Amino acid sequence: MTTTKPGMRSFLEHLNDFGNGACVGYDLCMKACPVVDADVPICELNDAADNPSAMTARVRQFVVDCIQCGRCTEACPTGAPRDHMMLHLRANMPDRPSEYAAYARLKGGHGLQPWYKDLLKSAFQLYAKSSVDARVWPHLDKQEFEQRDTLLYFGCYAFSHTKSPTVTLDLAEAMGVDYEIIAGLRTCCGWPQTLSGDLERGEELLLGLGMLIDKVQPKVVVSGCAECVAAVQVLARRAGGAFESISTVEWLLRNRDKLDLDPSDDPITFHDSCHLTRKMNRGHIARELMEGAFALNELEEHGRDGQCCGYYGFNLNEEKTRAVRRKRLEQAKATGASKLAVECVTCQESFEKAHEDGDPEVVELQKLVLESVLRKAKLNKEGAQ
Amino acid sequence: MRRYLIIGNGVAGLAAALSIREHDAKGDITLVGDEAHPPYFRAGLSEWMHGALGDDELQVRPSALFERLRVREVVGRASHLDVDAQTVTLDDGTTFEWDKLLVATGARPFVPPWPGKELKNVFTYRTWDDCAAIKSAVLAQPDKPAVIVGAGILGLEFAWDCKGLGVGAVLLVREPKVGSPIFDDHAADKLLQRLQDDDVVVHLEEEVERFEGEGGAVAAVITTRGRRIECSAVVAAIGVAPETSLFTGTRIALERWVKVDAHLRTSHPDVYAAGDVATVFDPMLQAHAPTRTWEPSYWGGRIAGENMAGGSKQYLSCTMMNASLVYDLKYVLLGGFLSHGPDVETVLDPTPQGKYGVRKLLLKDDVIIGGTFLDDRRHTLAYRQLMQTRVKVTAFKERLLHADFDPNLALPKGTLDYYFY
Repeated sequence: MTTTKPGMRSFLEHLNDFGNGACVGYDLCMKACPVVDADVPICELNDAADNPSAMTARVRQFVVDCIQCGRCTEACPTGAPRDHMMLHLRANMPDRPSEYAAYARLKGGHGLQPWYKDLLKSAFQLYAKSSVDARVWPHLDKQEFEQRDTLLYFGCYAFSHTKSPTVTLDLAEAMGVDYEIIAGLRTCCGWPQTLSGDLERGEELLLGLGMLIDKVQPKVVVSGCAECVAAVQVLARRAGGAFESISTVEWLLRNRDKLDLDPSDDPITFHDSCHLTRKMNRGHIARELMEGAFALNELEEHGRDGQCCGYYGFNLNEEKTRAVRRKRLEQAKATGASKLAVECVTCQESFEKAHEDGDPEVVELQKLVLESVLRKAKLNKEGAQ
Repeated sequence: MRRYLIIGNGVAGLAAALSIREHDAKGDITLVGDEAHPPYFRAGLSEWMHGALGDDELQVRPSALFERLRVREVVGRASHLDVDAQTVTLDDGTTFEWDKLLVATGARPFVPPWPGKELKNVFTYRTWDDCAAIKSAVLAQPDKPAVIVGAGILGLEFAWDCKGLGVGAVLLVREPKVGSPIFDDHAADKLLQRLQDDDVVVHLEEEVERFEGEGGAVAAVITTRGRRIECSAVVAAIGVAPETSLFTGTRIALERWVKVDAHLRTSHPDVYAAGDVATVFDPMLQAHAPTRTWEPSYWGGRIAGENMAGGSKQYLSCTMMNASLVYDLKYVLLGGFLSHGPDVETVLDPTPQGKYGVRKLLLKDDVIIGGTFLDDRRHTLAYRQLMQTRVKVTAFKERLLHADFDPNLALPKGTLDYYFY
């Protein structure tokens, strides 16, 4: 019997039993880190990990700046989970920045009176109506669901200006897949809160999402956001594997035989999501999907060595977050590709914030697939005529 | 006020000091080390040698820590232990009284009685001072190679340093393979390939016969096969012996290592030992085992410290994981990674990533009991958790090391809901 409450806090407490002692001082984590200032010595960081109340000002700044990309853990020769250690520090820092709370409120409505939340929600939804696909609108924050094998989980990205859900729904139509939808700010997976160090609120939101998923009883939960896929995977495990958590791209790969694609020679490059490729080891999925249909020029650092889009800088430090984003966009430019394909909607939103003229166009891989399907349909139609 | 004395300022001694202060706010803590440096990362010495790390970056904890924790640091060599009087005397005659003693003196490198071993520039590779001396010797004659005797982790680490320093390296290896004894034949082949790709000269089944000197310093090695290798220096990396000399003449039980129970206590109720000097009873293995590597030494120190301060914590799973770099390749060894026998089943990744990649797990009754990972470390922490939680892998044994299998999903629910990678 488990005596501790499940959730990231108990996981981190468990990890702390072996994380800090494993460090042998190669310093490769710090060298792999895209945000750390060169003057944070590893000994000071480890001291803080032993005792968060002893955190120095420069370690505190580093903890705030951490984007949770996991390159440190990947680089560590001992496999010490350094990014989890950073999260542990963030969750236990004596004075968490107020910006985290503001971010959490936006995503999950934390700390607000219910009537005020409803008012805000109504106002926001009226404002956002133009950006939400009409097919998604009826599903926003709904409580009643049909039972379906395929559950499309859009969460808060139902409101994304990228129109990612529209592409997903068009593809579902093209593949002839029946589905149910979970979408809306109140269906947040809690991952942003968890990664901001608010572990309790993150767990609360995750449990809320779990209850909604239970109503659908899906076999597969599909999301175009890597953080959502990671969060839903936790629920899938807790459900004993009753359903799977997969990315939209993986869903397309599984239904590849239903997609008639028009192969393109126009070179594209591909950005690996930290969560999907490094943390969940699914970097091969997108590449399998692209095989034969797209000309892929790999980025200088790709796969598990990939650089982050900078999303989890939470924009607290604009200059540092921008530097992370620019580094990746410059790498993309160097490939000579006209498009930088991403697998995760948050990667796309993040890159757009630092996009400059002359950079490759940032576009979701699933959108390229849809365009390919439409092109092929048009060609077929023209051929038939 | 309880008086704590720690002999040895390596990782076990440091961890014990941290742990004692966590559990006893008032006690008097003295930490004696025979190296003038504060606790430093031994593994980082390799990076330090070729300039990737500076002096400050080798420190395990900030300099201000001991002052904050009120730990008295003493530099000196402990030479006499009197368990009846409860004292330790240093070479310079200083005597410390203790109520609780931790001996964490580590290990010293072993050098066979090779003719000429007293020549200058014949080194062992253990301390910061060793590495500083080796560096200046090989850089003084950069056109000559360094001869490395032994191709275990340390020997190969120094081979990597030679590349960083821009000098040649010649390895003399007693065994028919490199990486012995910890890497199996399959991984050893990959390692050898890695070395050869970098033009490291490797002579297998060939040892030192004697050294030739010139002006008091080593000039050449004559091998057991009659080969003469001119060199700038010789680095002996063939193994270490526990530094147990402090126990000589006491009634504390020794068996090459000093034997401690699962509480890190020796046969004397107030004397503890941790790190390379000790062989620890592991309740999980139901046997004594030396700790050998950094992390188990750290935990040994922490647990000893807690128990010295009145706790009753047990040490578990000292051989569970050994992970670091060998040459420049990441490796992870899990549990009983060399287990064999009719009831041990091997599962291999058919398509490991990395040019020198190996992923191998050993099963007994469909439970993971060990594993070897080289140049491809995907999911090793999750496999370690599967091993420690004794999960039966019967249902997914065939896919256990396949690229699309995520071992996180097979972990017990509860505290381990989130992922390892």
